[in-house]
Amino acid sequence: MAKQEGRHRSRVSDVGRDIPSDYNQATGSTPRHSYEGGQHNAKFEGSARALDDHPQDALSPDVLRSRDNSQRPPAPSRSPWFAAAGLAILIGAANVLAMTGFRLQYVGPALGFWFVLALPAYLLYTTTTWRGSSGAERAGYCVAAVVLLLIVGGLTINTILPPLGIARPLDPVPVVVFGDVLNASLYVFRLRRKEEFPWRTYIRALKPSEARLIVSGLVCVLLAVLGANRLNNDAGDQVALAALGCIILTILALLGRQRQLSDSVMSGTLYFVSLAILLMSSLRGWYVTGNDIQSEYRVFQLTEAHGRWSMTAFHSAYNACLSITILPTEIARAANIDSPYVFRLFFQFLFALCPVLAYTFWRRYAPKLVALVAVIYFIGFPTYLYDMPGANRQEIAFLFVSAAALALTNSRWPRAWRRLALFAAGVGVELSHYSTMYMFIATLVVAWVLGSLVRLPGRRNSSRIASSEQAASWARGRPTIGIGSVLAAISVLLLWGGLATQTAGPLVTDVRDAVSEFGHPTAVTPYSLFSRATVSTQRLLDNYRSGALRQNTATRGSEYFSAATVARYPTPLDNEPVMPLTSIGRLLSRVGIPVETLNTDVRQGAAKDEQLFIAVGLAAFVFSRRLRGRTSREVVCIAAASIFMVALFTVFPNFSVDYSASRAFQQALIWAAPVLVVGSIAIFRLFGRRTSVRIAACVSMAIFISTSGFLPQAVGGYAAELNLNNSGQYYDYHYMQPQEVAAVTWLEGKPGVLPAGLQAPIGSTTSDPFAFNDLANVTGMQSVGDIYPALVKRSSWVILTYTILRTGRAPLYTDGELVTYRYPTAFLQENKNLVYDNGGAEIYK
Amino acid sequence: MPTHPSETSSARATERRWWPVVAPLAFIAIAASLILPAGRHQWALSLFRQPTYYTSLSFGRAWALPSTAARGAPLTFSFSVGNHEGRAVTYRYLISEGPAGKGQVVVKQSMKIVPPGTTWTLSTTVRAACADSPCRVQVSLPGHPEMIDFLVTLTAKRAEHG
Repeated sequence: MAKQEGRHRSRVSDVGRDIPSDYNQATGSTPRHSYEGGQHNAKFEGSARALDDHPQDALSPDVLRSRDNSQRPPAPSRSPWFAAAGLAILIGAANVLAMTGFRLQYVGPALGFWFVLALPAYLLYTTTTWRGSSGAERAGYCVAAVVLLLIVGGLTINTILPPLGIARPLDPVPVVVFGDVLNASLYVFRLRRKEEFPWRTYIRALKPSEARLIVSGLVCVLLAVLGANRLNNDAGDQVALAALGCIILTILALLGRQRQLSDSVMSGTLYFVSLAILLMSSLRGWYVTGNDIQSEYRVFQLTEAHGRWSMTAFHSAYNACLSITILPTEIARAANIDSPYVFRLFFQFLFALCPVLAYTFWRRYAPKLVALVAVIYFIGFPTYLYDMPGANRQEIAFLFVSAAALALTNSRWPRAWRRLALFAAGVGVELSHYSTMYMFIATLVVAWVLGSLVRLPGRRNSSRIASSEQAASWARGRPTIGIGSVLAAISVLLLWGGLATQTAGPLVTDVRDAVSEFGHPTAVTPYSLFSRATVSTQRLLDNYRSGALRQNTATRGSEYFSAATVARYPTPLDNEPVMPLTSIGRLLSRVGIPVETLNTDVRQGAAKDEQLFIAVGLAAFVFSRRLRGRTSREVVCIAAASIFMVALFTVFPNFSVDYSASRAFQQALIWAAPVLVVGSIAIFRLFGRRTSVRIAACVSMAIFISTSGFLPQAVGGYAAELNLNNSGQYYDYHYMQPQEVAAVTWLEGKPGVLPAGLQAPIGSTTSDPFAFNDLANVTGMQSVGDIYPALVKRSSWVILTYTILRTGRAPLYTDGELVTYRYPTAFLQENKNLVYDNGGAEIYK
Repeated sequence: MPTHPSETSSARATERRWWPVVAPLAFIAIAASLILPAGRHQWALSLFRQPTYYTSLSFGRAWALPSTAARGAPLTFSFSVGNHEGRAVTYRYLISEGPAGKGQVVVKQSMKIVPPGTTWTLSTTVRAACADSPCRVQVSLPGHPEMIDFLVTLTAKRAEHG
């Protein structure tokens, strides 16, 4: 096997092995010839055959060149000087705008983003380095490589320039000069490896039906932006709902026409659909909206304010993530845009590539329909819909994981290259997000162990297996993951997380706690593979109240209000109400359909279905030799390992509290989503091969329509989602109101606020000590206490937020769970001074 | 074998081009919506951030408000009214006092036109004359929901003790 591997080899294999015959028969397509790993040969006999046989690469430069030459007269050649002059003008304009700080609405940020990210990616894209890779795959490698270059390069200038007398290495001038050097270097690199990128030909080559789909995706993005803005301006949900409707219709069109569409068109449309979904959430609010993003934004601001990244400025795991410190600072300097938009807009542009890369990775082994359904599960998972736009460090880390998946399975590259790419992606993951790296390494380790175990019987019976065609396919190729690559990834973790930033320590503590608390469930893990008994919210609130009272009575003196005073103000549980029924919901209710139950059942059923599908899919791969024979052993091992890791999260609830089981599941889906789809097809197999695939696609769409919020929004009777409403839990506790910002600004600098004289409910900016402080004076010792009555100090400043004033509900976070209770405002009114009021926020002293 | 251009053209002709119809229609619809004021307003809501209007009311030196005073003694404090309503507003303030949880008696009031985006800061003195202690001194703006207050524990007059 090893002898067959080479730099540009292209081994033809029977697609009957790469693509399950079930799918081919089910979709009515005949078995086609393909190449190992779904990749194509660089040479094609004709464009028609290329398009038919290799839709994934239908718009790759090689194909398009031949396709274009055969269809049209050669385009008149333009002077290269014309293009060079245009490029120089654009680069010069980007330099001037960034260095002078002159703000040119819309054009300036677009030019800056192009200069710092799009242009380097384009220069890399149009080299022969990636020859043979499809457009989406190239884009994935290039964007990931440029992001890594920006992070590592930024870190380098951040380290080198201060000793040379430049105290602020991440100020506009050094960053722009670095951008120039990066672009110039890539330009020189490209000189000898140049490959044409005929973008006009790409556009001309589109059929009207393909153009319609791509435009439909663009319309989704447009509607998502307009819809979010309208909601932010309290103008109703109609456009946001239309955006979601457009997204659903576009996906349905993709499902319906997938056989006629090239993979490039599928990838392009999926990119816009994925982006629209992200923007619907990320653009909510006029500041940064979300849970983690508040802390991410603060460390970004810390780096931007200092013009330099330093762990000593604020020692925290967030500050160690260069994806939310150095990278956004570089983009902000080049784009010269309001800082929140770096996360809200540009990071979403990057992360929207992730589903496309995952699709491209899955297409190596699965037919289009299966890969498309896998994407629907990926982007329809609630974490993608609502959490990821607020977890920017993980977005960048997932981009590297997706690129790693592509590199690891790129059979066109020699194993050394694959391992090098895997190592580079590992560096990117570690520099981007610590938790993703833990999961990434653990997955690699488990996959390596699994692979070794699976290979053992194979070695003993090598002669018998070699005679079996399927087994040969299953065991084909030398695995990329070896003990060396695993150790290399671990060394990256130890070097950065352990030695350089000293932020990996809590991992050891968490593992120890998780093991010691094994068997004592404290957190709800709705997407658990193994459901465990969970603690009710009432019990969680009772526990919190007991703990608060213990703290109150144990403290001597009059720091807190007496327990007798506090006891006069009850704090009953007050769950978030569901949306009222819409006219459609009322109509359904009148004909006897219980809408609230329907919504709950569909959502819970979706979670359970996905667990079941994964379990069945995994079993199918274990027991079906034929299925195994159609894919790579290593990929199946990684998919199984990632599922194992998610299962581990639910067995040890502490991991769920600290690292989020749902995000771990989202990460696992990058590897294992097709396993889920195979499971769903296997379950419906009794309806026949073709019908089972159709049912599986319909089920995925039904789940998407529910989880995306479209169904609940259309009928009512379910919790409101942030992307469609100005209500609901996420809106109440993570949406920053202008009045809250004004209150925080008023309080900033007042005596006794920090380090520990401030109390505020969790959420938005009010619970973030950074917001009340000059960024130059931030330390890890500053904190904001909770406002639970038993914990309110007599001398502290207390903020009541917009949500508490409007709804009377206050949140608290305990044991990894958000619990809401009715806040006794009278307690503050009768015992403290109301010193600030702007109608949307109150401050007591 | 390369595909003959005419074959491709005929294959493409079977697919209808839609943009020559849809694009002008979309352009006309957008242009029409921009002509109407209501349409322009809807576009503004979809494209640009609309200002949030509010009034802020706060004490100056909020951390050092009087907490105890002799009955009838003067209480000096300052407060600010911030106009973020996007237009000039005539603010009238009332300073009232009364026992905590009971009726308030207005002890001072005044009014002023405050230009948008500016803050009206004033310092005032009232006498703590509540019947019971603690006494709540309240500043409110009639016609606006904003209100601030502080509690003062009253002691007997110093003269009586002397």
